[in-house]
Amino acid sequence: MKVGIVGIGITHFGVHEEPFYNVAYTAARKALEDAEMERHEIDNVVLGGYDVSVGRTISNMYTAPAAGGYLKDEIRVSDDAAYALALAYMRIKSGIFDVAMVLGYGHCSETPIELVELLSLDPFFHRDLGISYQMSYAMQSYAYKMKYGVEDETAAEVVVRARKRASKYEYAHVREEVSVDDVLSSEMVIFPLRKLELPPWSDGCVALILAEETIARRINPEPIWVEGLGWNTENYYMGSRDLAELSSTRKAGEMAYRMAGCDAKSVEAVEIMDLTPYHHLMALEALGFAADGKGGELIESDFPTNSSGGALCTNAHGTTGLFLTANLALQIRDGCDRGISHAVSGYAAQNSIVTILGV
Amino acid sequence: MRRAAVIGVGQTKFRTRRDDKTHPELTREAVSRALEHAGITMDDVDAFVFGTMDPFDGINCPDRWSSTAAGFGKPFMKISTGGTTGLTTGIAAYQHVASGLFDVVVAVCTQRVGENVDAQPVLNTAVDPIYERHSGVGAISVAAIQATVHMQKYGTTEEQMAWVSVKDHENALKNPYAHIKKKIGVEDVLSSPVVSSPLKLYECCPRSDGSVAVIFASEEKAEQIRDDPAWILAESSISDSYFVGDRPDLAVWDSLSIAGRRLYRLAGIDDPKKDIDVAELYSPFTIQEILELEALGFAEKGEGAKLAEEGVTFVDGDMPTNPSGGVLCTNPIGATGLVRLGEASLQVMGEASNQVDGAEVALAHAWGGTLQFHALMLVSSHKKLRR
Repeated sequence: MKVGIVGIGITHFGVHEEPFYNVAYTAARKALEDAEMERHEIDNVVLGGYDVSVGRTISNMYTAPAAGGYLKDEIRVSDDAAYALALAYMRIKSGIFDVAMVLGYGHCSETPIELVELLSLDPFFHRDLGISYQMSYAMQSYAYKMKYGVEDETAAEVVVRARKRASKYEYAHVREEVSVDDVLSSEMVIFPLRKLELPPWSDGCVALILAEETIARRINPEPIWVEGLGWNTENYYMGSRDLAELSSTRKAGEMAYRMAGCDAKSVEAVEIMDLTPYHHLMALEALGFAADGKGGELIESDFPTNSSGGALCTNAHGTTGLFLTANLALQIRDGCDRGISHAVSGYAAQNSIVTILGV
Repeated sequence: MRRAAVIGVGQTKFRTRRDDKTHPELTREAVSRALEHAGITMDDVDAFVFGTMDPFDGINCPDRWSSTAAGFGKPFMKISTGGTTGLTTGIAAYQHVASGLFDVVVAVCTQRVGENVDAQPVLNTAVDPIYERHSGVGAISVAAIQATVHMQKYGTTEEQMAWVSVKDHENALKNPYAHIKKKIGVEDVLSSPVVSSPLKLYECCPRSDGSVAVIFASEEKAEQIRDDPAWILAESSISDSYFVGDRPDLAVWDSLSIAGRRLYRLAGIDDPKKDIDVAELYSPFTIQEILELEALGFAEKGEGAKLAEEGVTFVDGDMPTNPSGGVLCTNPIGATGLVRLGEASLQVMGEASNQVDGAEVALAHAWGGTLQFHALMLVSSHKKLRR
């Protein structure tokens, strides 16, 4: 039995000032309309997103009813919503449920995210160091850059291409095109990352409707099948890791490829959560699209990465990964046969999840 | 549907503060005990599901740190749904196994409420900033409203509610992991200070630090690993509306009735009083056990208050509730629901510290949000309901 995506709803990503449950509602409503379904046809709701980062605790309280969860079975993954899709898949695959509303939310404008993220440092070893969330990604960028001699221009080119793609993607947050010179002359924020090499903090919601195979075909003659899923966790202690590689992404990718029975060669579209241009390259390598240190060579080619512009252009902490998965689903709907999406969470990409979708 | 069972349960001692251990150390203590109980090792575990409620622990996303003790290098997923977190973590772990993706999955919940000066202002951030937050809504205040409405509508008395507390405190004396261990009588409850009228100190839960782990396995693995696993018969969760003011009647917990009805239908239960031998209910406030007994069909509407008073819910009564001492004596908020499942599983394994004679079917329950969520799980010593 397969599980397929039959409805896609994406809100505007940027800054939302209205009550946020309205944004969640908009995404859910759009997904229902996309699938030509009504709320009563959904039998469970799986939410994904963080607390605190949205300025409150138990944030599924205000998003559950907005996602159509009133008097329905509901659960929430407190991580990137790409994990919510994995849980929804398991809930349907097990036979327990038929149709799931997966809703991811990120509301970065509500809180100083970096301050909140500083609190995820343990009080004994990390907290006194005051390492910010972005610093941890900069440390990885630096380790990778030094190990493989990645040029500043290569990183800048990743940003230029991301912006170019985002300019054509209606849901992306930052859509202004930039040049390599713009990137290289932008302010150095955290070495080696310049201002234009850091992602924005975005607000927005993504809703995907998942259904069991037979039901999925009733709803939509061409469902987008979830072919593979994989997720894994690295060591929390950054000092005990090789920061120059994304090992949790590598393991997550291996699990997903194993489940889908395919490898990187058969993948036609890639959406990766590139919180820095260096992570763009590291993720491509970890997922098997390039040899270690050779990710930069793909940038000059036509390799179909992040047609959404990726996390560098849209980053709603808590649903960035699902935002990328949704764009992958749109690409498959448009004719692509198989694609892969990727998300990371935690300091220095501690956790990774990989989703393979296909026809 | 792939059958699954609980094959191991591990808990730490719950205390006001567990300054002797860090977050991952507490997690490790619970996981190690559960592995030992199941007779397996970390290598046998395919995936972890971690539950905790942010930000009670003084750390944002403590799961990231705690994963060093459970999940490092393996698939690891974090669940958080308020008070139901513990049970929804168990439900998610069960679904990991039921899906066929994994054979052995550990659900573990760690919470350190002691890191917080006061849990109620944290809870208050969950409610709407425009309509409800200024009224100071937290868990205690909404429970107090439930008590007031129930008393007014059904004539429930403070003495009847006190009996629930007396029963839970008596039960907790036998539980080596329980937080509050104190023999009290009805007079002690009635004369304790009012916390949120009409609820008094001994009618309200403590705030606890600690961890609990429950291990799930597929049918084949469960039978290889132990002779007496606790089979999962069914599970169910529900979300109500967001605003407390939108609930039609706070004297009844109708959303729990609906979730219970769905659960019973899945498990084939006609009469919960006959078919269920023991219940571990999430009742951090005395009135809530009364509402839960009514909502889940163990008592008629308005009659729930009589059960503790008449001894029905005591461990030797006809419908024992919270033989572990329940939430009234131990409440590590985001872990509490998984403690309910762990204790319910131990009851049907025949290994509970305060064992109900011949328990074959046990119910675990948790509620969360401002009365918004419920989660339920039913476990049995048999693969199917036997009457």
